[in-house]
Amino acid sequence: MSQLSRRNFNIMLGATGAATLASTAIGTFAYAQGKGRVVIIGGGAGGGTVAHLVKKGAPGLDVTLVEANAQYTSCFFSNLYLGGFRSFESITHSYDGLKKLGVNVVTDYATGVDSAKKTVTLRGGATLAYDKLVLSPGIDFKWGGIEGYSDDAAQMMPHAWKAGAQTQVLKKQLEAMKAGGTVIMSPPPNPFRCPPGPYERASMIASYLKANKPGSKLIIMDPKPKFSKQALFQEGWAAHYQDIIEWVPPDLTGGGVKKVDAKAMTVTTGDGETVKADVANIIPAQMAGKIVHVAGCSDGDWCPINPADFSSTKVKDIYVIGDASIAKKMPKSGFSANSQAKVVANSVLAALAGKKKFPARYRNTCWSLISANNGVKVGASYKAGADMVEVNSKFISKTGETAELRKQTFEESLDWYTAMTNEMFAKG
Amino acid sequence: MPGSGFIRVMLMLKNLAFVIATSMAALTSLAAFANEEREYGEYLAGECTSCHRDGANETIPPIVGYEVWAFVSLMDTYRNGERDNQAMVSVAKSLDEEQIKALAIYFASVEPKGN
Ligand SMILES: Cc1cc2nc3c(=O)[nH]c(=O)nc-3n(C[C@H](O)[C@H](O)[C@H](O)COP(=O)(O)OP(=O)(O)OC[C@H]3O[C@@H](n4cnc5c(N)ncnc54)[C@H](O)[C@@H]3O)c2cc1C
Ligand code: HEC
Repeated sequence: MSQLSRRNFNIMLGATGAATLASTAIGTFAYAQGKGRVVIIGGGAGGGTVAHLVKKGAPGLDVTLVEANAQYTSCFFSNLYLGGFRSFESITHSYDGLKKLGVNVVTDYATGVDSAKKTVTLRGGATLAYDKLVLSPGIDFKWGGIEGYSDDAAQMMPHAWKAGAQTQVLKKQLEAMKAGGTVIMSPPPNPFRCPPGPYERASMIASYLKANKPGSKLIIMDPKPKFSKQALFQEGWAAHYQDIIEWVPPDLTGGGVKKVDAKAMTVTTGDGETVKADVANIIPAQMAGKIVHVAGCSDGDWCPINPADFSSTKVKDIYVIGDASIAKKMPKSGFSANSQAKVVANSVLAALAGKKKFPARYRNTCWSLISANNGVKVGASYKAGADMVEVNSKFISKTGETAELRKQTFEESLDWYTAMTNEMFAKG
Repeated sequence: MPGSGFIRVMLMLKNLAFVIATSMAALTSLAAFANEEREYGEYLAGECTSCHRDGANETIPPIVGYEVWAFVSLMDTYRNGERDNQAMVSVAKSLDEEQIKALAIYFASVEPKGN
């Protein structure tokens, strides 16, 4: 890598630079004059980022972030926690940075949106007025797709698809399992948050089993005939987990798991075969978080948006980002939500603080860890088409890459995690 | 920002010299143009800060504080195949010259935190 000298701030850019800096000071002053109320529901990948960037861009704006939980445990890297590559503390974040920046962080659950009066109601009884409302509530589950599976059953057969207590339940169960045990995983049908997520999880569980529970098996009963980064995962599984992971496509099970009995710890496939599990990770079908449906923003399970700025096509002055939106080719990922948040922040600052609105640019990159120091990635750049988000270009890791490259890819993901969570929570 | 007051004074003096050399109107339009370019750069930089952060010193390096020419030539290494990191090649190839210049101007204006 060629090294070019880094210059210090006190080296002048010349006249252009001088003018730039002088007028920037004036520009910042103007934005600070921004007036208006921005309410954001959901303090995750999308919502945290919007709150940070809007408040930073126009300190004069009144920015309120409504988040149900006092802390945020990220789904991203929760698989690494299961594999023993990351601590639970390291994936759990506070809202202190956002509070320090001046964001009004309200720990409560939003129950209603009145888009005519432009107000949000909270479970605690408060009502918040908004000029612009941003919804980034992530997902809720569609119970009912798998007979016998419910919020209660999930205490015994965790989904761990919203990180936090559920992830810890799954981890504890794996730790308590006997050697030679059977883990069954039921991945969700499309579309769902984090397309490579179930397969990274399978890799991480297998890595843990290999080191700690000899003779154990992980059976993936997939309702889908193919999955994200399939060639890369299957290459890694063959190399590292040949005797552990068995991926079963839907034509061999009659469409995957259709029924569970959480007390008996059994799962039943579409073919009627019943299998006993020591640990069962059942990941149900998904839809946008409840609040977007209450707000009238959804069309079926998810929310249609204008690709130019992720404003709702259905309700004025509301944006929907992250997992809850229909971004078509752009996968439901933390990276995507963070990317969309930037376009929304620009749009809100343009509307309320006189900032210039620029054409949307979106990007996603999803890293997955297959085994220690063996990372792969997939990514794309996107633009706003006339009626949907369109792909500019995409890339994916290749099979057969060197161990050195795989290690670098893994290390990139560590840097990305820090950069993105710093941005979500105004840390660093 | 230690010494930023001094720097600001220096910049103002430099500005003043420039005013004498050109017409007031020309300066205003140049300032507006430069400001716009930096503002555009700041917006575009949002795409970078998902991965790059100041203070990092690892696989994804910090990108603040490069001189404009250095920044542009680094970006070129990902466009001309000299460097082949897939994520960065994708980033660099999705930007045109004007966007790279705006980014360079913006990142050059950000004071590195230092490690
Ligand atoms: C196992 C797993 C691994 C993953 N790995 C990656 C990865 O490596 N990279 C990646 O980019 N993505 C990854 N993802 C996907 C990523 O977690 C999501 O796509 C991302 O979090 C979506 O962001 P969001 O803002 O839409 O929702 P979230 O980040 O889930 O945030 C939503 C927040 O809203 C709150 N909320 C919801 N409703 C309300 C309400 N009514 N009132 C108040 N608060 C509310 C919730 O408590 C939550 O904190 C992974 C997901 C899983 C499950
Ligand atoms: C998906 C993550 C990601 C994003 C987004 C990203 N980069 Fe990078 N960038 C990297 C990685 C990884 C490297 C190191 C690559 C290598 O080893 O050549 C890098 C290296 C660089 C370098 C070389 C720095 C040096 O000191 O050698 C520059 C300049 C750069 N990026 C600019 C940008 C700009 C500008 C953007 C936004 C328009 C951006 N990057 C967005 C991941 C990213």
